[in-house]
Formats: sequence, structure tokens, C-alpha cells
Amino acid sequence: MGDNEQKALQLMAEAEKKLTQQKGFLGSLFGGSNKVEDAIECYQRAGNMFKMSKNWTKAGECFCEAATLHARAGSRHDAGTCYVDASNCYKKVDVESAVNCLMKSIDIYTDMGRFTMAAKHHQSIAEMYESDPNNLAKSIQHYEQAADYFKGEESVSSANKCMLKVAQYAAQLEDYEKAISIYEQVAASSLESSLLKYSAKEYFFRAALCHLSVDLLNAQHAIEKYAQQYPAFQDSREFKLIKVLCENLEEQNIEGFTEAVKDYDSISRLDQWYTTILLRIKKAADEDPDLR
Amino acid sequence: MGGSSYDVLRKQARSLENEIDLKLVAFSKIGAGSGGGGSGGLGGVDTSPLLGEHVFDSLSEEIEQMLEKLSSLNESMSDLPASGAAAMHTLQRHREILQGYRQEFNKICANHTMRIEREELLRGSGLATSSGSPSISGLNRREMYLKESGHLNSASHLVNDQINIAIETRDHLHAQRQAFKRLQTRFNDISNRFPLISSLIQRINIKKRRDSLILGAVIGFCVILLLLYAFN
Repeated sequence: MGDNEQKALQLMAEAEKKLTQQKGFLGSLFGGSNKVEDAIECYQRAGNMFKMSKNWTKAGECFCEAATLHARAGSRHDAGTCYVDASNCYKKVDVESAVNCLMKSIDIYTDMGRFTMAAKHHQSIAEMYESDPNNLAKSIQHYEQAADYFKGEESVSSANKCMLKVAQYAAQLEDYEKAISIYEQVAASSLESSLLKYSAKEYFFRAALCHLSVDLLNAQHAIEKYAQQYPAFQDSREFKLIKVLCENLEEQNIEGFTEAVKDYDSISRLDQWYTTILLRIKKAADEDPDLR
Repeated sequence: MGGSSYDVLRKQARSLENEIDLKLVAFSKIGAGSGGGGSGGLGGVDTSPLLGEHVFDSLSEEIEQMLEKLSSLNESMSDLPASGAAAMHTLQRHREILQGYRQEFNKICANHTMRIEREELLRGSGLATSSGSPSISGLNRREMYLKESGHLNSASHLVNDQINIAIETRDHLHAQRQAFKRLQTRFNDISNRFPLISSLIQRINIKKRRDSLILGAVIGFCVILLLLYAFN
């Protein structure tokens, strides 16, 4: 471990020396472009050695320096690749630095017109942010940008995957209108494919729950509309659950609501997202009793 | 001077890491334990969220403060001039430890939140501790205290019932003892009052003993005859 680190530090010093040393008149005439390439190679080797010794911060620094030198030398694709390597190192210790490196890489790729790569890196940034509840808004932004780039490149399935993530986190942040529109959009596009239409049931279910969080009457109209769009939805257990929940909410019957959710949960378990949304619906109904 | 302040900071960081480790273990147990009472019946459901939530919140704040302090200590150590690769490696190690603790802390908090939400969703209404206005939260807590008081009263009634059952059993045993004593007294009176019965019983015993002797003699004679016939 220490041996690799010592070698890496020597390589860094060697790279800096190559950059700063002044060559003679003949050297500057004939070998002017070689010193930058040699420094890049030294930095990359140092970064790899830091990786072996698990010093992720130093490895990220080396790859950033290599990327900067690549950009100076005009190799933009190599610069982008080095920034991605640096972000992979920083991802383990410092999320903000990793995001900064990926943003530089995205700038390079968008300049080159390679939107698929830029979209993938936006997706990586969003995945890094989604593990922190305080950064869900940033995660949503990056997922939206990734989805826009994917749509531009006609990668519909990747775009839909990103949009589903946007809808999920938007609902968690109580932006139900955006979540509803995205779920309905993705469900409509899923119905056009004979393979994907079996997932439309779940998307309609999630959209109906978001409607329930906003207003009961809108939810009732929405499920009728969904049943017209996709007749198989009417036979599903999700549809029956939504129907029973609407009836219980109309009668202000919290015990019935709880029993219906418990019955559904005993057959197919509700994950964290459903639990959160259903709990919000139940609390809203409990705190807002009908005074008739 | 730099070395000694570095060593002091390192000792502080190490002791703080040990404290955080112990607190995280207790935190993990509390986070898992407050859900365990959910399946233990009505009393378990209603009592454990109160205590668990309070202890959980205080421990959560305490651990968060400790993590912030450890983070500032690491920054202070990194601001000192680096005195070789070994010090940098140690600093890297401290940073990794801090990150691991922070991830574990976040995971425990997320699991606890998930469990609490699930319990509130699948349980009856009226007892949800909403995070809205403090007056509503106080009202719900007051309802929980009232319910707990009701449970204590019920427990007291049950214990009184058990004590009454025990007292009745003791009375029944006393009555039974009195009856048996009375029976014994009556038998003693009968035997003292009528000596003819006693002589009759003696005669019956003598006759029974004579019958036994006669029967034994006859059986012995037959056995002897059988043996003589068998050996000749």
C-alpha cells in the first residue's frame, strides 16, 4: 500500500517537473508537444497507483489534472473520459467533487454532440444525489435533463425510466401534479407496445394514488378514465383497492380504509413509496373530518 | 509543536469514534426494537412508540452532533501541515470511518422512518403521531397518555380479580377441612357409644382369619400330593 503511494507521489512530482521545465531552443522547436503527453501519462499512472492503494481523493486529483491537460492538448474525448474516471474515484469519498467532474464531462460531450453519453452522466449524477433525502430536488433536475437528452436521441425506454424516477421523487416531495402527468404519459406510451402494456397497470395505480392525495373526486374521475384507456385495469386488484378506498374516504371510514390496505398488503407487500403515500392520504382524511 | 497538536487531535478523534460506535450500536437496537412491540398486542403497540420515539429522537440528535464534531476534527487535522505519507494515510482512514458511520446512521434513520410509517398505515386511526402542528401532536400524545392510564386501571382490576379468586379458594379449602374434621368426630362418637359393634367387628375378623388358614392348608395339601405324583 505505502509502496504504491510512494510511487504515485513520485510520478506526480515527475509530471509537474515535465510541465514546468524549460527546454532549450532545439528542444522547443522539435519536441514541444511531447511534454504534455508525458505529463498526462505520468498523471494517469499515478492515478491508477492511488486507486490500488485506495487513496480515492488523490486518485481523483490526478485524473482531474490529466483531464485538464487533455483539454489543453485538444483531445476532448480523452478529457471527458478522464473526468469520468475522476468522478468514479470521488464518488466514494466526496459526492460534490464527483458531480463537478461529471458536469465538466457533460459539457464536453454536449459540445461534441454526444447526447447519449451526456444523458448517461446526468443519470449517474441523479443516482448519486438520490441517496440523500435533502438532494431529491437536484436528483429530479438531473433525471429530467437525462430524459430530455434521451428523448432527443429517440431512446424512449431510457427516457421513460428516467421519467418514472422523476415522478416517484416528485410524489415524495408532494408535487403530485407533475407525478400524475408523468405517470399518465408513460402509461399511455406503454399501452402502445404489446410487451410493455402489462406495466401500465402499475403506472395507473400510482397515478390514482397521487390523485387521491390531491382530491377524492378527481381520483374517481381518473380511475374511470384509466379503465376506458386500459380495460384490463378494471379486473386488477389495484383497481378494486382504489374503488374501496374511494368509498371508504367518501364515508369518512378510516377503519375501513385501514382494513382495505391491510388486506391488499397481506397478499402483495407495499414498499416504502406506497406506504408513504397511503399514510399521507389516511392522515389527510383523519385530520379533515366531514362536519355534516 | 505541530506534531503534539496533531497527536492531541488524533486522540480526540479516536475517542470520539469509539463513542460514536457505541452510540450507533444502541441506536440500532432502539431503531429495531420499537418495531418489535408492534406485533406484541394492543398494549405493546400503544406503549412502545412513546418511549422508543423519545429515546430515538434524543439519541439521533446526540449522534448527529458527534458526527459534526468528528467532521470538524478531521478538517482540523487535514489543515495541519502533512508530515509524511503515514499521517496522510491515517487521515484517510479517519475520513473513511466518518463516512461509514454517517452512512450507517442514515440507514438506521431511514429504516426507523419506514417502520413507523408502516405501523401508522396498517393500524387503527386516532393514534397517529402527526408531524404537523404541535397542538395536534400534544393532543395525540394526551390521548395516548389517557389510553395508557386506562390500561393501568384495567391491569389493576385484573390483579384484584386474581386476588379475589385466591381468597375464595382459601375459604373453600377451609370449609373442606371443617367438613372432614366433623366427619372424623362423628365416627369417633359412634365407636364410643356402641361397644356391641366393636365386638361384632372383632368376631368378623376372627372368622375371616380362620377361613384364610383353612384355605391355605387345603392348598398346601394338594400341592404336596401333586409333587409326590410327579416324582414317582
